Amino acid sequence: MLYEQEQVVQAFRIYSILAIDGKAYKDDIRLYLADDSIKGLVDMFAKEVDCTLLVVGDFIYMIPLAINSPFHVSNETIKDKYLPSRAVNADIYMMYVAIIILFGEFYDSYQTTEATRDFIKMEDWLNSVNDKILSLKGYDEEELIKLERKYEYNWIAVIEKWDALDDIKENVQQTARTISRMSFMNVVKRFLEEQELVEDIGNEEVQLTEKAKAIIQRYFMELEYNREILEFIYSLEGKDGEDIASYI
Amino acid sequence: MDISIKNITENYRDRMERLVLFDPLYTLERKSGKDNRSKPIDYYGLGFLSLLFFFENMLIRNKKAGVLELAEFLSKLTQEEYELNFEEYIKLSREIIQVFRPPSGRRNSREFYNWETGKEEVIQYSILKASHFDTKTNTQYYELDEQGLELIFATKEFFSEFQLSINQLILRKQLEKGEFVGALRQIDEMRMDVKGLQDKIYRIKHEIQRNIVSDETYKRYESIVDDIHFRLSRENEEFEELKSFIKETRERLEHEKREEKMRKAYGLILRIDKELGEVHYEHRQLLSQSIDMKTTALNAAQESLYYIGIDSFNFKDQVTNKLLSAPLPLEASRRLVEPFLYLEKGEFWSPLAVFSKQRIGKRGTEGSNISFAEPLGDWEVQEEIKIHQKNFKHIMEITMEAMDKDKSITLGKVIDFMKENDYEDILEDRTFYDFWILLHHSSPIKIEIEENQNQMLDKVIELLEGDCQWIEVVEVSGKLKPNDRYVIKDMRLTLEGDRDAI
Repeated sequence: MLYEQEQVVQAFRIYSILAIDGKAYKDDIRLYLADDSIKGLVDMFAKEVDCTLLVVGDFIYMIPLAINSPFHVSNETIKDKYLPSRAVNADIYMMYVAIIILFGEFYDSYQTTEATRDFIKMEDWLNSVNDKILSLKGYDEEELIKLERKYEYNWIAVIEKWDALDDIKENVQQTARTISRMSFMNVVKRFLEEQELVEDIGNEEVQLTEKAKAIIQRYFMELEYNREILEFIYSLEGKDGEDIASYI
Repeated sequence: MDISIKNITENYRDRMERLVLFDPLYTLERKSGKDNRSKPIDYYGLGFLSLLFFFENMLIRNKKAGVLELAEFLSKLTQEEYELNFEEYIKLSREIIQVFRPPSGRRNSREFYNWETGKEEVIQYSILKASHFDTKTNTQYYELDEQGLELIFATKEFFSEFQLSINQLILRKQLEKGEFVGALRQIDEMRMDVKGLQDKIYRIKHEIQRNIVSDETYKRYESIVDDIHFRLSRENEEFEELKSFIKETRERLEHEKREEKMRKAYGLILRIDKELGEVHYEHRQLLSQSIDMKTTALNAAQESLYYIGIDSFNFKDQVTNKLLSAPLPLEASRRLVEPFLYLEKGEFWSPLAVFSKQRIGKRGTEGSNISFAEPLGDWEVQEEIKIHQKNFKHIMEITMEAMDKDKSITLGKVIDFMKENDYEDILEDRTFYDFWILLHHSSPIKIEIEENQNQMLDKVIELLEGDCQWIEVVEVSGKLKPNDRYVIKDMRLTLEGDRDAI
């Protein structure tokens, strides 16, 4: 398809607004919604940096795709910006796991595509993370070590990390700073708040924002992306590969 | 004569949705609490009255309706009937609020078999929601959510869809009769209707963007949006008429306002005019929003040409549990959260910056930023204080346990007690020793929360409040070595002031 130079420049202008802020108010990039060829171009630009665009209410968000991409924010940056100093890789993976568990708590039904709860108590979230990690502990250690050899990072480090965080048994000497599980959860919450994914509604409760809901319901539930994600999961599981067909 | 089954099962879901609204009241009815004279408490009625209480608060635009306020209301309402103290009223109002707004955050929901479609379906509903939060007192306030309002309206004779029109009608009648005080209240109710509409439009707007997956849902939303639009424009006309009616009344009163009685009425009509104007303004904004929504709906539909959604997806089952139970390599977690993250921003430095304007800093302020540890952020400090407070409270509880009924105990005894009672792990920790040193350092400590006091002991003081007036910790001879790591001088802790008096 042939584009006029003017269109390309306009599309690039819109793309750069999105790339800088990750979102844009719809009136500021009216052309994106109004002009199909500009929309097509911006979508293409986004795709080139492994992102996709979602319209949520009055905003348009640029959402990174669930693939490994050099354009996406690096673990290092997140660690520097959002985690306490001295955080190591295990901390950041623990945060990712906590985030995945959080969204699982909101979307846990096959019967409806809407969230099944309005909010979650920080404590319940913590308990859920706790349960999941403890259940891993019960996993065959040999199996875990085998997995560990196969991949670069290991679960054992995360489990140990989690164990080390405890409200009453603060091992003060080791870290020179008190870290408890709840304060870790608060770090994750703050990160999510900054990403406009959750809102604090007081009383130690958080709820999902429209952005978060849109990511789940428009991204994770989009046929194409959904298949990619599930295929990714199954490819790692290895043995259950043949199940894929039942979800398409 | 044949009865058509289709006619009967039509809109089965909508009807169920209305029925389900009453479920929480039945849940309350099943509760069996009694007052101090063993008179059973009417949970069902009180639950319903609580909803009306929140409704009334919304009407008078009082945002501060929380547990405490509800308890006050209930105690005023029932003091003749029940014998309960205020603590129990607070417990009661908490129970009631929890039924309407489950503390787990999980929505109230009801599964049912839909006889129209022949499928199991789920209805989710929300009666009460948190509206407002006061960080200073850590109090949450509540207001009725969409279905809560519907429940209230369902107990009147007319449907919520016509609520606004009916209110407009009543208002007109009241104005005609000259009942201006009642008219003001009517306007407040209208304000609520508009608020309800606002919420509904906001919700639908987002729903449209998330949910249009097929032609069928598109049609459904299209008709909803059309209905709303039609309704809003009809109401708008009525508003215009009301306004001109008020204008006439005002002009009429203006000529008669010399009389005392009329002056008051004139004041009221001015207020009515103003308040109605506000409501109308908000309503008119909704009208423009609904037009906006029509285009969004179309946009969304257009987009859905590229977008194919799936019918069912269970994040917890298909992603969370897979990740953790298989378990997948840890790195997979990164890839799964990817969509929630953001793009790396390049930060470049241009050599031309050398020539840009420079701020001249005070001498001496620069160069001092060579430091090792970064200072803790405010929230980090708060976190730490909270943790310490909790830990200290725990240790104090153990100490009290060790003291039993005595008024004084030595640290040695406390340690012995802890070793005997499985608290040994606490002795491994520095916090325990910090606590005693802090006590000794600040002894004597007055049992009273004061400002400028060491916050670390707040929880401990709370715990001891009413037990004694002072605590004193003095050193006594002898060194203690509870384990290999720590050595501490023995101390004696004494509670002073009347413990038995209370």
